[in-house]
Amino acid sequence: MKDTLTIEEREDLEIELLLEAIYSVSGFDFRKYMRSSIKRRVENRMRLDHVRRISGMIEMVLYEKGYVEKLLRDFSINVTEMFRDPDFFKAFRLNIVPLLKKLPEIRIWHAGCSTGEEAFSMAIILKEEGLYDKARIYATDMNDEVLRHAEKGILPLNRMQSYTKNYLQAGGNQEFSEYYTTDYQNAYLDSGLLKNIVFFQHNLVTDGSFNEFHIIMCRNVMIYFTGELQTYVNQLFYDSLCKDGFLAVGSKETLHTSSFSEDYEDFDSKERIYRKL
Amino acid sequence: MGFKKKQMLGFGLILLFLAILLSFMMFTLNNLKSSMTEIVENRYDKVQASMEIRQLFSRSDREILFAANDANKEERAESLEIINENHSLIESKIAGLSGSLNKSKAKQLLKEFETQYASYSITEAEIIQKIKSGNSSDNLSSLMDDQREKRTKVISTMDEFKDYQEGVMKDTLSNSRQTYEDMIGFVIFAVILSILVISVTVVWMIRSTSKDLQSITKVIEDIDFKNLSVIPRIPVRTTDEIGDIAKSFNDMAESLEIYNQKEKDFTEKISEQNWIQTRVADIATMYQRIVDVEVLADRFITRLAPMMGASIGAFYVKRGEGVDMRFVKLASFAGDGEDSGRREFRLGEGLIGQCALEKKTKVIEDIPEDFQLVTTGLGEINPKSIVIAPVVFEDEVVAMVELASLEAFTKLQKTFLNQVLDTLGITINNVEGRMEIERLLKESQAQTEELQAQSEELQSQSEEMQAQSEELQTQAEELRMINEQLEERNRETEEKSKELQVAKLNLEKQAEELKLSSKYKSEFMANMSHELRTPLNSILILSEMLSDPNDSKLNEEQQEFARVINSSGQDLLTLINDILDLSKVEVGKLEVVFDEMNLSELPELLHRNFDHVAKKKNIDFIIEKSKNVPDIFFTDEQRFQQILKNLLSNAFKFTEKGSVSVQIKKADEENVAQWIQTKGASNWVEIKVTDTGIGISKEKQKLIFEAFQQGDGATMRKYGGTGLGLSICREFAKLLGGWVIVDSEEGQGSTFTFFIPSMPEGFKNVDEAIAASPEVAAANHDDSAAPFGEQGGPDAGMMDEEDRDKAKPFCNKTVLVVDDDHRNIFALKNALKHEGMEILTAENGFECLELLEKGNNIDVILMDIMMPGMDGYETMTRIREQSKFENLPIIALTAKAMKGDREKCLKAGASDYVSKPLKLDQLLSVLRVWLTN
Ligand SMILES: C[S@@+](CC[C@H](N)C(=O)[O-])C[C@H]1O[C@@H](n2cnc3c(N)ncnc32)[C@H](O)[C@@H]1O
Repeated sequence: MKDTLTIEEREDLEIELLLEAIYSVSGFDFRKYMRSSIKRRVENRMRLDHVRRISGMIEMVLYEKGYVEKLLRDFSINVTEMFRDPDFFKAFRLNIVPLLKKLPEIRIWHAGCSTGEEAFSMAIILKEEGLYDKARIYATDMNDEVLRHAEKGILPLNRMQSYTKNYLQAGGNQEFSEYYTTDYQNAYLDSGLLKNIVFFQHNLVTDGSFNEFHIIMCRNVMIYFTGELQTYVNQLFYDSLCKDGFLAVGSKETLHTSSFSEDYEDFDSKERIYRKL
Repeated sequence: MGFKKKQMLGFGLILLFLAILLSFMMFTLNNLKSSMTEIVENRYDKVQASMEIRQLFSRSDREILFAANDANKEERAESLEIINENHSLIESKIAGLSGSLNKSKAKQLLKEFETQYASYSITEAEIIQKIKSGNSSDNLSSLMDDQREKRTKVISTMDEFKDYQEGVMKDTLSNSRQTYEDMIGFVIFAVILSILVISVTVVWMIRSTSKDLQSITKVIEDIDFKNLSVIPRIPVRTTDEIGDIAKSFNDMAESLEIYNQKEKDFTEKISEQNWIQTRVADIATMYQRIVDVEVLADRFITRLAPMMGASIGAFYVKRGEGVDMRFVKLASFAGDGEDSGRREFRLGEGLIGQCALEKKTKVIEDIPEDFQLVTTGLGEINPKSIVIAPVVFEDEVVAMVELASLEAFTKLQKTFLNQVLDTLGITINNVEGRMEIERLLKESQAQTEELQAQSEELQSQSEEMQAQSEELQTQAEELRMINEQLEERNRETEEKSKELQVAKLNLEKQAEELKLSSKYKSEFMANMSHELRTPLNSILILSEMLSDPNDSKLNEEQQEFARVINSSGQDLLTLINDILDLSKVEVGKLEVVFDEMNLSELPELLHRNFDHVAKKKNIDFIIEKSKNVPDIFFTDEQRFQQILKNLLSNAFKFTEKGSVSVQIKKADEENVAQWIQTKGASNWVEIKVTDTGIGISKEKQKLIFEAFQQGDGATMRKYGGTGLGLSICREFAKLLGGWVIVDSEEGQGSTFTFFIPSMPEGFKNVDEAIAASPEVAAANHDDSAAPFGEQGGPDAGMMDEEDRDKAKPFCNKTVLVVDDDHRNIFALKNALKHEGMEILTAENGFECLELLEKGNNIDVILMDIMMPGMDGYETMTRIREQSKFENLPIIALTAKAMKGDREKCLKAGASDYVSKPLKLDQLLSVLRVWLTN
């Protein structure tokens, strides 16, 4: 037995215990998330709440009502935008859409959809390509709060300029302004765009596959996962994709360093689109 | 004896026999022939000669007789001649005979004959002499007798000789017959003998050769061609050819055996090679796609051990450098599934360490029972043999393999091991290289993802912080406010009330001004419209003339242009008329003349005006008129008709199929009186215009009676028209003391009902007319369907108010509208002003640039694309060229169908585009987006 732990070791242990506590209390499992990220979030929270030790947070998790939710909110990074990485959506429109035209029905899963912008972008593309009516978009996230926001189809007005730019850059061929109306704070998406999107809670770590999809998008979600968890989730995606289905990951992610690289064809390696073999 | 000799001997013997046989036969034949010759030639000749002699003698005798007795002289001479001749013949014959005689008896007989003949001849010669001398026969007779006597003697001797000769011939004949018979017997014997001898020889020959051959055949037949390793030999008994064959065969058998052996060795070698090769290949294929040394080690040892027949094996890989260098067990194989071998060792440590140091393979066989197993890596087993082998790469031991077997390792297995280990080194190196690359890749990927995560975190954090700071600000603000409020509450209230008062005054003043200005506007409009009509009329007339194909000098296209000008002019004229009418109503300048009018003529009038429209659009047009409607009616007929025409043309305009119907009936006075009172009104009539067209939504119903409003923008575009029709209807109806209401449902059609009273007296003036219907005035801006109890409007109106409040943040925003179409500018200006924005206008690119140049504070530009001079693209490009306008939002106004235009716009620098005709809602949404910062 060691008589003293180094500072780092102690911190690591504390975080481990914290995550364990969060899991037990809330059922949300962050134990296999990247420690670096979790650590930063925790430190941030500590600063804001003037907590001196992580152990203190454990106590709050256990005893203070609403504190877990607060931490969960901290851990869920919901950064997203419409037509994020426009080139990806352009590639999607040019190269994947033609392949979808033959399908009688298209099922798309946005795993970790955050506030839904990605799903909305997809809906717009499908609409412009005449595929929306036979498409069904399943947009899931572990964070119920963002989903409730997403359902409303409301976008902050101050993001709309950059969304317009993205839309145009992604090869949008209509007027972006046809898809929304505004007031002085928000833009409201056309309800027609939302009609084939279902939002519901789904945790990639704890929930299983729920359908078979032609396309799965999980962009900028697995960057928070350890390799082990990535492998696990990739297996889930593999099992949920139909043959020749597409898996799209974030612009900074790849399947190549995973054990799944053999199971997919590089459909567009630049835009990180893979096709199940 | 050789085969050849034997044959030669055999055939020689046969030939010899044949030769003897033949020569013997020749000899006998010869004998036969000589005895025959003897008989034929000798004896026969001698007999013949004796016969001839006898004849000759007889003849001579006779001649003598003749000559002596009978003959004349001549004949005598002749006979004497013959006798002479015969005498010589006999003499010669005797001589001949005597030469050929061989038997003594014959010779004696002939001698006798000769002597006798000689004596005879003397006598004869005496006779002849006598004859010749002419002696008579008597002289002769003694001689003759003498002669006769002598002749008899000669003849008998002659006969004796002949008989003798014949006897000899007979003897000889019988002799030769005997000889012949003898010969036949002998020949038969000789032939039989020869046959015997020959067959014996042949049998001997055949038998002596075939026996050897048979023994060879047998040996050859006995050969097992499937197994040529042992071939039977032929005993060499003779030195003859058969012996040679046997010897050659034996030689061949031997070389065959050697060859066979060699082949066997070779095949064995090949199969060994194969054994090794398949296993080496097997292991080599296994190497593929392995990216982890541990996996490699594990797979390698679990494959290798069974191949080597080993029951235990361990795989050590070098780890660390220098002093730290050691070999660590990465994998092991144990037949019983247990982990075996030491965990690690250092160079030179134990037997295996020694091997590693020496880089040499060590095989330990026949391990004694008490062998110290500790020195190996494998611990406590009792193997029969152990092999410890280094894996070398670039002259360095990178790994060690140890295998233990309960049997001895075969040479083959050892060779195999060597070969496998030869390539293992490089494989380990490769895999380690790959592992390193993989690791680096993963690391860099993880870093990339980490960065992305961090940046997202930062972004979300900054968003949070912004929200927080905003919150803080508001909180601080609140605090300050509370303080201030506490301090200044009184003062504030005072001021507020003052302000309110001022504001109220201001408002009142503004309202007044507004009224005035609107009045001025309308007045101006009325004049303006009037002024416009004059030139327009000439345009209409001229363009009509130009478009007339009969007397126009223009070509077809130009005529078409003229037609377009004409129809556009007509539209314009209608518009102007409408505006004029409306303005007049507003200003109160419209003249209304109440007069008598015949309602019974109304259906016919309407039919005349609209039947062709109905027919053209294939719509039913039905007019019903109730009986109780009075014929005589007092109103302004012109306005009355105008209202109905407007309603009907509207109905037809928005109806694509179905029907348009008009119902004229007496109105329920009580019902009307409930909400409209018109002084001096009597006899209300109600005219319902019903269509099955597109209908009007509830929200829109309150708007349609306002100037410039129609169902919506899209409808306006589709169906044309100014949107003033219904406003005019209602204004006119008001002037006539009546009212127009609508009842409609979207998609179901609409019903417009026009209530109108008969006004025999008329109004004194227009003001009276308006004042007469205060409720109507109020309802003017309310829901027109009010009489039917549907109160949906105010709500929507409230929303508008709210929106307008929110618009305040955009109050000071300036929009620059660049468009060469005045109507567009006009429309936009109105709409945007309404939103509280400042509007600047430019009619072309140059003006736009100029305005920008002047340093106007422009927040957003609405840019039409098609403009004369400098078009929208160029203008945008020029604007973007100036770095200060890099981020100035420019919204391009494009034609809907032109996709290429949009791309061009974006290229030229537009921030966004909306298509024309513009939808106000959309335009405002877009402006809100681009005015947010
Ligand atoms: C950065 S956002 C990505 C949004 C969107 N996919 C994009 O790329 O724009 C990551 C989202 O993943 C969600 N998420 C994280 N872990 C998750 C899990 N285990 N199961 C489901 N969603 C998860 C978070 O709630 C967050 O909304």
